[in-house]
Parts: sequence; C-alpha cells; structure tokens
Amino acid sequence: MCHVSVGHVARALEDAGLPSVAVFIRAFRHVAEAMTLPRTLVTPHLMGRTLGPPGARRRQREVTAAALGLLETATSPGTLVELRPTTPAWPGERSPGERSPGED
Amino acid sequence: MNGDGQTFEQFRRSFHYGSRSDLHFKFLARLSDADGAEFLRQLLVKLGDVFDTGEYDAVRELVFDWQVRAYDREPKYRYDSGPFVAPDRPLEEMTVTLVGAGGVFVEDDDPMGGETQEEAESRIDEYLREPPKLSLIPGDTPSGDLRVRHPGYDVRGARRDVNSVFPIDALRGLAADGIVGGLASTHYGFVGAASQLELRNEVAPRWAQELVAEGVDVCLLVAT
Repeated sequence: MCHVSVGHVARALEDAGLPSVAVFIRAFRHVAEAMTLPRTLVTPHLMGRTLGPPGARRRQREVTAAALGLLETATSPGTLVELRPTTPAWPGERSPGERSPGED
Repeated sequence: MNGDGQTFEQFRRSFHYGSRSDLHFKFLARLSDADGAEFLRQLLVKLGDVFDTGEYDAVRELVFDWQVRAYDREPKYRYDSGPFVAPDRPLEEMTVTLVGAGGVFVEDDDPMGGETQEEAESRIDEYLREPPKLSLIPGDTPSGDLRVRHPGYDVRGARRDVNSVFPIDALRGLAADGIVGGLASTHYGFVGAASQLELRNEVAPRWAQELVAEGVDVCLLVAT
C-alpha cells in the first residue's frame, strides 16, 4: 500500500509543479508503471529495505544518486529505470562481479 | 488438514496479521496452497545448502523472487497519462527534500503518541481507513534520532539503520560532495498504509501545495 501512496504523492507534487522521483522495490514495479509516475527508480531489494540493507552505505548512496539522476535524464512521464547495482549489498560484501583473493 | 485442525491455507494466512504474523513473510497469504508449499520447499533446500556453503545470498534471492511473484497483481490505480515537470536547473544546483512513506519520525515528536510497533500492526485496518499524518523532520536531525514505526512492513531493518528506508545520510554525503546543491531545511515522513482515496483526493494535493509554498525545489520519494 505504501507504494500506491507514494504514487499518489508523486503525481500530486508534479501536478503542483514540483519535480519528483520515487524509489520503489521490484515487487511493486507494476504499481509504478500502472500509475504512470513521473520518474521511478526500481531497486532489487526486499520490502522494508528500499535503499538497501541496513549498514550498506555504498549501496544506499548508489540508489540515492541514481534516483536523483533521473531528475536530469528523464524527459517524459512514466520514466522507469530498474537499477543494476554495482556496489555491495552488505557491509563488507564484494561488489557484483568482484572476486575474492585467490578465487579463479 | 493437519493434526491441529488447521488447513495449509490457514497456516499461510496466519503470517498475515494472524497468530504467526510476520511482515517479512506476510506474502505467504497471497500465494496459492501449491505455490506456498513450493516456496517453503525451496526455502528449506536453500537453508540446507547454507549450512554447508555459507552462501546466504541464495536465500535472500529466493525470498526476493517469491515476494515479487506474490505481489504481482493487477494494480487498483491505473492512469494512462501522468503529470511531468522538468527541473529548471542541474542537480548540483537543486535543493532536495526527502519524503519517505516508511513511518519515520523524530524521537521526541511522535505523531502517534508512543504507539508501539505491535500496537500499530494490530491496528492495520484502522490505519488503512485513516488519512496519513505528516511528520516534519528538521534537516539537521541526526539519523540516530529518527525512529520508525509502520504497520505494513518488517521494520527491523529500518530500526537497525533508518537509511534503509530514509536515506538521509546518503543525501548528506551527496550534498557534501557537491553532487546535489543542498538539502532542504525540513524533510518529511508518513505511514503509507493509509486511506488511499483521502490521500489521493485531499491529503497529497494539500501537502504538495504546502511544499510549493515552502519553496521546495525537488522531492526524493521513498516507498516501502
């Protein structure tokens, strides 16, 4: 329900002349699409961890920066980007594609 | 039906505000019996693997995949078009206001007068009938002074680190590095589990006008 709420707020802000960008989790991507939100960044995270798991500072910053970036790149309503993260999802975890020492 | 007289459907539904309420796994109520059983089977297999491999990611990915599957229903609100306003300046000159639907508030400014998480969950139906309340979060509030209560999602992660749902520290870092121009003097939190009609028709338009009157540049919205 929270994702629908954010959808209503996003549309109201834009109606009032305020640019906005919303961050959704993958489970509710279809809600953003159906509501034709101005700009949406979709993250590969579990419910209640929209920006990333607790303590995952690099991931949270990556998501935040990517979302704000849509304010510069989006040119039409309904813009939706699914984030392919490059930073670790956990504190101290390897980045996607990053190998540990000695790993083939 | 099992020996306690409970069907598998009743077992699944008990995770959704029932006797086994668990907001991480409330999606079990949305699955069919067959899918619910298959999810649990796969979960146990993955857990068995973790004992040997320590590779926990597979468990998280499995839950993620089934969460996506469970919530994939026809949305209630559908619009063929939407409003769109292009910002009038680059990001490094914008002042960003954070608006989160994850039930974040300042420790000494509780909009619900000290209601516990458990009490909120027990009142989920009331939350869904009422308009949301907006919590004002002064821009200089340390993230450690923020609290989280929400009847609709598992708040343990957000309580461990509020930035999981309200990225105030990430925004501060981006502002310090000059990637965004600055942060607003006030941010906002509310509980997204609320009356959708009141929110859409009355509350959200009012909030929007208030933010415009305050001279807000752009808003970063976070759903949970």
